[in-house]
Amino acid sequence: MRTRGVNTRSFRDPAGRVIVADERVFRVVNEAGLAHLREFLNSATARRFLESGSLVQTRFLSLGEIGEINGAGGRLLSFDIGGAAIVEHEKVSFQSYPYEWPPEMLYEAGRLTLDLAESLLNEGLGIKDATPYNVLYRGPLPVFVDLLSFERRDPGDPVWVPYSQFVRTFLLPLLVNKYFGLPLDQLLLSRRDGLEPEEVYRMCGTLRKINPIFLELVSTPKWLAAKHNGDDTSVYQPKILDNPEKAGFILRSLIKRLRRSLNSVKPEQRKDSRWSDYLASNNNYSAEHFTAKQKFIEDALAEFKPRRVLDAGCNTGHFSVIAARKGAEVIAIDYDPVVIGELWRRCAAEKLDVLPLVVNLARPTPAMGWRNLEFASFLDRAHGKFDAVMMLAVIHHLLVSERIPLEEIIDLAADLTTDILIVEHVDPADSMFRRLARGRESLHADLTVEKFESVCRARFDIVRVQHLNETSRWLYLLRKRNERTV
Amino acid sequence: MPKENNSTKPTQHFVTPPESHFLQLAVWALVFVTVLPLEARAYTDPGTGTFLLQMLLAAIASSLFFMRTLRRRIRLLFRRNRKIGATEDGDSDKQSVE
Repeated sequence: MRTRGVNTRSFRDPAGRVIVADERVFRVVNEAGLAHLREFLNSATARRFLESGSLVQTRFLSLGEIGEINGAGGRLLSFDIGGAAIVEHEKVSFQSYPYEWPPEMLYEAGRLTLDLAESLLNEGLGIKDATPYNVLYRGPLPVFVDLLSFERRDPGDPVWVPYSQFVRTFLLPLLVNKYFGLPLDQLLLSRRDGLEPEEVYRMCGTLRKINPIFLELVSTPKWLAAKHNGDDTSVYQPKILDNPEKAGFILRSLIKRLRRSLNSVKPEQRKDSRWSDYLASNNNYSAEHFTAKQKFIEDALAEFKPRRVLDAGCNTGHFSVIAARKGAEVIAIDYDPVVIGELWRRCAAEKLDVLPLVVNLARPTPAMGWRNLEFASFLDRAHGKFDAVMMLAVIHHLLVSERIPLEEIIDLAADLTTDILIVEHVDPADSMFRRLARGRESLHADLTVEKFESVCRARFDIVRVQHLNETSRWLYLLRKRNERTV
Repeated sequence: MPKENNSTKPTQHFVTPPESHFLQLAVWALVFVTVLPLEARAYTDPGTGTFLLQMLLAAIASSLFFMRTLRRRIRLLFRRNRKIGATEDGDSDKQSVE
């Protein structure tokens, strides 16, 4: 997709389509979609949510501007789908998908969806689909981006069509995550449209089936569907009531009910992650070493002032937060959803520009969707995005647990950063290294400081090295040798 | 997937456990047994169940709305009666305009 330089998405919605090119996002809107879009943008709700930053900034392009854009890059924007207008959206700088979010972020996206739906009711408008794919994250804050999701409602219509979709894509994944501990990436990577009650029902024991929240979201729908005659599609016929007040009351009760359900599947702050106490208690650093490490990283960030930082294997995000405080936009990845969830809580509360994502660098998120072109892989999205990459206390995990050769790791780092790499070398004599190796240290016997440096030199210049005294760890500040020297 | 899977009998779930003390359960079961035809189907269209749940909740909300309207009307009726009572007594200066 990148080879063509243009990215078209959103083809599921007939009201328009999205074109992404050169870091700009356009949306061609057809006649039917345009009326709803204008009405939505004029609503008090839209103004309020735009102001708070939870709605994507949008402006209509004039014919002159469209001509200018097309003049530069061929016929990029056209009205060929019966388009009536073209709008430009603010580009949310890093796209992330629900299968990379910790449960906290899925919950927050659900809350935003319900907030919008509820607020719009008062203005006779509504949301016509309720999926987490309508939401992206700008740092730790959710932004609703699908502006063709809004429509004018029939005042007598008491049905919220996306009700089921909300249950499938928000409530049931959160429910299963909370009660069965299944990680969201495993649930959502293979299911675009979330979970069906029948699927969850099969996981439940008898008592669980009558637990109030399961009874409502899982068992009752399952039983109702089993009794329903599949050929009878009359339930899906629009039911318009004569009394709009009654329709509004029903609709409001339904959304209130969804909000209550969302609250009962709200992720709890947990402390039982394998890594969450890693920095606090179980690390290989004395306070003195830790201060030295922090100073090394702070100095590097101060010297090169990177704009965008990828913190790979961020753990609790201690260094992500430092980078964000120094003014960088940070993407922090770790495969453990618990530490990522904690980091999200912290960054949201302290308003830090960190986007924490559940991504395993050894098995990064694949490209997904139709022809694998709907949602880009993590590496595709990350390529060329970062002028600094931090890999702190993570290489030994890749080397030992994942059995990735050092050359490969350094090569990947060089693909990810456009400028600097801050990397920690851990000697096989290190206790954490030995713990991971479980007696297979001989496999890594040749991993000396000299070898580490020679591998790094293939793609990087060594700016400086610091050996953390009395430990088997070295910190490197490396600079990529490429276009920079040309 | 959890192991308790095998212990369930998929055919008997809409029989209400007779000694259940859960009021909520009873209400749900009652509504759902009375509202629906008793016909079990082997194949179900995915997504139908949640849609039917919405219908069920809408029906409950609808009856709440009915009760709310009823309550309002009764309150209004009482207020009017009280007003009439007050004017008949002739002790209210404020309403003397009427």
